[in-house]
Amino acid sequence: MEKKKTADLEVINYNNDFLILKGLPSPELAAAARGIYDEQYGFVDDVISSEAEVLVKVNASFQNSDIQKLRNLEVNLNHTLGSFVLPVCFDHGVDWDVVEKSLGKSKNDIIDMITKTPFEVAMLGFLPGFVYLNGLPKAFHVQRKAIPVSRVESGTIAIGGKYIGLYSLPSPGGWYSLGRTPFSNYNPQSEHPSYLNLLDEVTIENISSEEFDVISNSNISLLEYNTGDHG
Amino acid sequence: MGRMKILKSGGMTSIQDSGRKGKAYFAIPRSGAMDQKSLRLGQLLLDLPEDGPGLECTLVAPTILFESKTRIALTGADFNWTINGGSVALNTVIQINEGDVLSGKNAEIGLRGYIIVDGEIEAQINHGSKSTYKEGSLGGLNGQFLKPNDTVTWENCNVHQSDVINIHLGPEWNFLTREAQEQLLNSDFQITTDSNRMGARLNGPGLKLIHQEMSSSVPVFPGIIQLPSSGQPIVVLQDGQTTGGYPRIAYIRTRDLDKFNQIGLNQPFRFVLGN
Repeated sequence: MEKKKTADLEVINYNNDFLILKGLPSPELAAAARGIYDEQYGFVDDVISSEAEVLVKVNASFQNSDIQKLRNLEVNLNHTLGSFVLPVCFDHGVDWDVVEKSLGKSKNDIIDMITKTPFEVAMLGFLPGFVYLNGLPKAFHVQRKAIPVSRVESGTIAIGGKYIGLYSLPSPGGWYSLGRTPFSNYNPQSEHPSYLNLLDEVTIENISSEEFDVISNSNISLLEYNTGDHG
Repeated sequence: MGRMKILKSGGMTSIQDSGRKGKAYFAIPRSGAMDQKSLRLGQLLLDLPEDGPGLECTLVAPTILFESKTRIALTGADFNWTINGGSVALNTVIQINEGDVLSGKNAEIGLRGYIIVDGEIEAQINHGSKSTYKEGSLGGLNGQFLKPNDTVTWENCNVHQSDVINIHLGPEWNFLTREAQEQLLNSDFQITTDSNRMGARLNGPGLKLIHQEMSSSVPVFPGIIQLPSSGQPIVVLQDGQTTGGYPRIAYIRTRDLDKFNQIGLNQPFRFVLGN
């Protein structure tokens, strides 16, 4: 098992309200976040992990000397990676006009790139079941909406900044909708309510709206679809 | 600063707070309010820190002349409290004017009452507490119960402007132009009707950013103020997302978020920089 020390963490303290930790490569930072979460420190109220930084919300019992505890962690980098195929109906995307215009590329070219790129789960966050995917070539990055819309449907695949995102719950959102998957990655019964995990590989498969309806009306889950357990 | 004068001392009336913690090793008693919950209730009503002091009286109510305008809360036993002879209710915020006299009778339904004033009562601090321990002469006014002609003073610590919200600088404060930093702290904002439990969308002067957005999505929590490129901030609320890609220009502390969440829609308010 590969173990790593967190001694190089950079820690910024915001008025004893929260700490921002950075300065480690993403996989080590994510492992540090998991390590801090697992320790269940009394001075920690919440740990939020992201690619570039970890935010630790602290409470009144926090003391500056506690920062050393975060730097003394030994974290585990071992992780079994999954591989998923995510079917997406691009005809259900609602922001194609804007995306084509802002990227200067046709819908077909964009779909072609998306279905040929192996994506990687960069982080889980935003809302339960939401997945950030890395792997979008730079020429396909778009700036987030200036005014987030009030509602994005669940299952929406969207593009925002350098990410492809999967909305598992309906919510307001600032990304551009390209399509919808008939699956939900939100598993409310599980403590970790996502089928996909950090660094899992995801390939996106183009399906028609008829196929979308067939899958929607079946009762299979994303896991069953990927293991072929659906007859 | 606020002042009150004790006219009649009542029963064992003394300054008490949450007590001296962890000092039993030196045989120092815990002291503090005999009914901590009632003291805390008063502090919550007045939006005060929950470990601060109040006055505790036992069985007999004191008579007190307020020499400053303030707000008080009366909790614990029912002493049939009156202000200038008129009945006042327990467990609510009472407005006090300069010259008002608080008095009461004997305790009914309970034994101990608490008078909490809107501020931090000044008293002797021993071993980290202002609680009066008479036998040991610790805390309170020279370690003694209050007696006629004693003056109790307090430092006002709350800004009671319902339209002012304390904020602190966020990680991306420097993404704002100098002008936008000024505007955030010196302009009226309103919460718009397309807000929900996830976030409050604000309407104010369009704030300009030097950098439009983050290179990757970063953590947020209830109270974080995000700024999309539209220039209209969004405050992340209780059902809010845990990560986002808009710059986090400032944040509202958890404790101040209660007040923010009670601001009416389209009602103007301002942000001030907290300490």
